[in-house]
Amino acid sequence: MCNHERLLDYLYDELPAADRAAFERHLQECPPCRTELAELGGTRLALASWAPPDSELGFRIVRNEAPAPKQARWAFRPAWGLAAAAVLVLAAAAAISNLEVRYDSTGLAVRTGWGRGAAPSSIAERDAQPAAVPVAVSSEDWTERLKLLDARLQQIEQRSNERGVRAATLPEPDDPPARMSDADLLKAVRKIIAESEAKQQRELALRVTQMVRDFDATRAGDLARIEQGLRQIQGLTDAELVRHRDDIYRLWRITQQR
Amino acid sequence: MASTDEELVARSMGGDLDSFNQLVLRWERPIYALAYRVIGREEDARDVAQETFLRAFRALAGFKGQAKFSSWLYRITLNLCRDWIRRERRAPVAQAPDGVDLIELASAAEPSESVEDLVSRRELGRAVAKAMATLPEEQRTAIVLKEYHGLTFQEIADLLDCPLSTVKTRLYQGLSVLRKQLELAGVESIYAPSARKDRGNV
Repeated sequence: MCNHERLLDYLYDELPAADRAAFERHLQECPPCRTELAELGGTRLALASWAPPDSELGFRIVRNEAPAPKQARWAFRPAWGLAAAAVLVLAAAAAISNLEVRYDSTGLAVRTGWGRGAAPSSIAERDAQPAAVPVAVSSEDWTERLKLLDARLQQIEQRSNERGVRAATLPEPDDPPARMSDADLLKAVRKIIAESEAKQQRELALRVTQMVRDFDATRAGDLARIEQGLRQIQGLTDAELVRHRDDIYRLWRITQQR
Repeated sequence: MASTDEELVARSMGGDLDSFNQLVLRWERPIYALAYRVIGREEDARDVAQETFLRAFRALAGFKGQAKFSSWLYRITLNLCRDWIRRERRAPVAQAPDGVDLIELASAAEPSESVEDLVSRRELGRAVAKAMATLPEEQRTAIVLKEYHGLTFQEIADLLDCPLSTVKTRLYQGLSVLRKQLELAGVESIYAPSARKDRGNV
């Protein structure tokens, strides 16, 4: 067997005319090359009988004019996750500072709870404020009130102690009513504080319950919206499929006519 | 008069989608046939063909006309076929599904061809598909590009990024293996040397 490259060139008619004549002369003198050529020719004939199945094609590139629905599905997730995280953080904060937190479709609402429905102590009454105030202002307010109350209590206790000591050593006829009055005041204040604390604890429990309820309602609403969105996407995809099928069918018809 | 590929490509690059779809219509069948003969599965070959046109459309700005548009398409198709073979980690399916190629052959048959000839052609087609499936991918690709797409040796070498002599070696080795396989299958006798007068290229 000689050079197979030249044989292939001859077989596929890619040999320049000048070389072709020379190769044909060679074939006359070379039986192995003649046999090889005949066999390769037979194989090529066999190859011609292999056809791919007649598949329906009709591809067409179309401009995608409405890519929005696919993204919309993902747009829900970060917003939902953020809202859930925010509610959790605020719930923890509310447990500490007695805040009322509400998250709904209108947004996030934060309200302080101390001013509302607090026990009618003299200080609370004096400083009663409308309920909806920013958190920072409210906590300053509260610290100030705490300090005032603390100072007042210390004052009262100091005076009571002084008088108590004096009464033990130097009982004076004018003192008893005044001493009684101070002790009563102290007792009353403590009672008021205790009542206020109890009430605020109850309110805290109530607000946490309400917050959980609000949270659940909002979540249910969001889930319904997500579900509705998904249904819309499904509808759009189906419509697009039908359109594509129609296009392909039309194209196929055109090719058939041709 | 129909536009040339180059004219349609130029118009497509200018944003004319219809021109690109004319190219799709013109080339979808050869591209599908190439994919089918390389990977051997109708469904997957159709997917490969579709993906070829999508990729070509997206990369149209990068087509500088250094090669023929068809060669560029062939290159995309062959890359996708290679990906498919790698992904499936297997040789192509040995033969076409029953009944499908009979319809194809009936429409391709010469008017004078008898039913017996048709049947033996169908059987021969199956035997060829089976034998082709046993070849290494690069030999099969060289044979497909030469036999069914009529590319010159130089065009195949450019397309496959290999020397001219490598293409010829792959083709020669592939054809030699095919001949032996077909002899083993007992179909070589159908094409006795006397019947070679109707030798065709497709």
